[in-house]
Amino acid sequence: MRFIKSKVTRICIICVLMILVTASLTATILFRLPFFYEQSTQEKAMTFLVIGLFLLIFVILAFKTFIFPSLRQITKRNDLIFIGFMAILLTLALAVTSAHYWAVPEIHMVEICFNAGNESDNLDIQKLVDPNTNRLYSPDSFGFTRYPITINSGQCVTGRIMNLLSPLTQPLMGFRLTAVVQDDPPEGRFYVTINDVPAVINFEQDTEIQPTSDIVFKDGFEKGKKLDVPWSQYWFVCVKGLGIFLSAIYLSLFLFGLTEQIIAFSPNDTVQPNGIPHGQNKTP
Amino acid sequence: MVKIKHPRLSKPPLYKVLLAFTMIYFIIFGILMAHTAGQPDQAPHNYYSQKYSETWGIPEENLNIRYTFIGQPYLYYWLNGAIYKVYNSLFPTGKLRPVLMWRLMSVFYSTLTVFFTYKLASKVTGNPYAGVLVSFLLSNTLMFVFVSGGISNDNLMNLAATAAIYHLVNIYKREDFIWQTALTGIWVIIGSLAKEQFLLLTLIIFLAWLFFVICNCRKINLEFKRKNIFIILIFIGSLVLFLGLYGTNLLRYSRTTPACAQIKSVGSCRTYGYRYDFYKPFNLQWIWFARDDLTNPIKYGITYWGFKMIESIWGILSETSFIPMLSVSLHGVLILWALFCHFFYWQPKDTNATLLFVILLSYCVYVFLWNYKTEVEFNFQHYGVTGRYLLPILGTLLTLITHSFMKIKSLLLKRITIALVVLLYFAGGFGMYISRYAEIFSHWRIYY
Repeated sequence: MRFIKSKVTRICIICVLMILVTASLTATILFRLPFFYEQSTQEKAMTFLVIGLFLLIFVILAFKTFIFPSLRQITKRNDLIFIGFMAILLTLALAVTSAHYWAVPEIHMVEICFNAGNESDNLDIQKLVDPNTNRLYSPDSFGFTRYPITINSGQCVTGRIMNLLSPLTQPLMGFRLTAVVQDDPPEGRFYVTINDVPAVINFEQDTEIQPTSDIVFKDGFEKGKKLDVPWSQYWFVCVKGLGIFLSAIYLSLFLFGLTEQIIAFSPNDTVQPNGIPHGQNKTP
Repeated sequence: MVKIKHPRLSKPPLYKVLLAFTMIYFIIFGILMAHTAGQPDQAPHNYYSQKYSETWGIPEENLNIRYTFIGQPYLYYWLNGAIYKVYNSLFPTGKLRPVLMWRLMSVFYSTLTVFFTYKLASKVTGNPYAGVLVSFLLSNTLMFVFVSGGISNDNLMNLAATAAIYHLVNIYKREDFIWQTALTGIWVIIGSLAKEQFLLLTLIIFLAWLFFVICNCRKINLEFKRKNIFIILIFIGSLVLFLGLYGTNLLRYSRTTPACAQIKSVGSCRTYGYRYDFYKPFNLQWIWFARDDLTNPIKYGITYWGFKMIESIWGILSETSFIPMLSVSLHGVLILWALFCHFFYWQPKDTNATLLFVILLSYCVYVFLWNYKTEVEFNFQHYGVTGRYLLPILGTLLTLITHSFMKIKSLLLKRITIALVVLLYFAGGFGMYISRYAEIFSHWRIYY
């Protein structure tokens, strides 16, 4: 083990460790957020890099400020119990508190058209929502930066929506899409195809039954394109598991250092601007 | 050769770096909430702020609409109006919308609240790291940050409450009596001029101050320094404004603020906002006869009120609601654990913790009784039962919680408790916002 005593080797090992930890933390955060799955591969790489660099600064600072100074103190049994307990707790918590972390994306192509009765009215779609989770689908792929998606009479918009299938939640979920259209929609024909399976709604204002603004679509979802590579491959799931474990170990060490700072503080460590140590007071 | 000595920049202590980080963290979270809809009563707050933007004084009363100006606490709206006018004069072509400007002002007030919470907790625990921890906890309390992103006089009131309690603690810590008393008084008046609800805290703080004076009248050093004279003048000026509002109201309307019907025609006042003025008042004799069928205060407190308060402080209960039950329940368990630690490790000489506990208890009891009275009057329809009304003393509660945990004797237990508190608050605060954005908060997004 002589090579570990070399300063250069030690620095290299620490750098590799910090990069590994940063990558794990970045993955642990980003795989929980639906927007990350909806990005293209290039955008994903860029997001990962930017967030990773941002986190790297914190990882280095936390290593230097909290973890290194307290590493030597981790000799007592209680300290090891704390780190072990927190590592197990965090591993479990990070693994089960987000269904999206283990999710496999499935893409559905959607085409939405509207033909107004008077051939001039537009239809506003206020939201496209996953009714299982209430997740708002991104309107980006439909060519809109934000809702509402406005469809002129006689026009169609095409885009895609992404379901996130997770082993934690999949048995309880159905593939559906809720389109929330404007209140009191104009008379006309609302036509939606999901993976080339059509569904039609006719808005009629003279009928006694008024259409609701929430319209649920169920058909066509069985024809979606599931992205198995790499999301459902074993090696990728194992890498994600390892990411959680590394993050948990790092966070446990960080929490140990942080709590050490809080608990070990002595009023004489710092002085107030008036020269009196913290915790000591003037007497009248 | 002359050697030039460069002044050496001293490294700031770690807790100051952590405090700066916490405040930046809160500002980011607050700005995100400023782009989120659903905060309570935005329409009236916006209306009042707009009206105060048109004048440097009190806007003229419009007898045809339900909003009244005469005799109402005005400071928050006046400041909103002032900042808008100053901005307009500096940047006549500026495109910052007033609504966003006022929301950002709220974030500013709440950032100061976070800072004063740090100071309060540092003072009470004698540990600035504990102070940073408490400010971090406050920065991750969902309802507090949610309200901080909206137009609301609650934000100025919360700031005034935290600052006033901090200066009161300084009095009990026997710091410069005149200086601290004047500052306590100024903040108390700022709070009272921001919202009528603050008058209760004014009374509690005044009684606590009076108690200290009575107990220590011989030991108090009344040394008049030049800076004391300056602060006393500001205090007297504030007192004039306070008496000008509430004194006049008491003399003219026999109430702290006039009822709508005392200013306008009854027709203009028959709205939901003024329901308290038009309902059968609380009748003790009737309660005596209905006592077997009525939900009594003990049952109400245990089965409903306590849970509702926790849900609506660590969750969001407003025009839009989001109550993450697991997180809320764990916060409830944490409070019980803190309560146990508080009494288990309580010492008679810990006057500051006792003072904070008395303030907390008095305020909570009052809000509870007020809620219960409203429930009886309105047949338990749960009007105005929300933890938002407890936000002025939230910093005090979090300080007491942390102070109790810092007294745990077992190092391992203390360490685990603090670590879990940090994790729970992050996961139930900003972490919750990020992870549930697509499902909850994106639906409430405001585009300016």
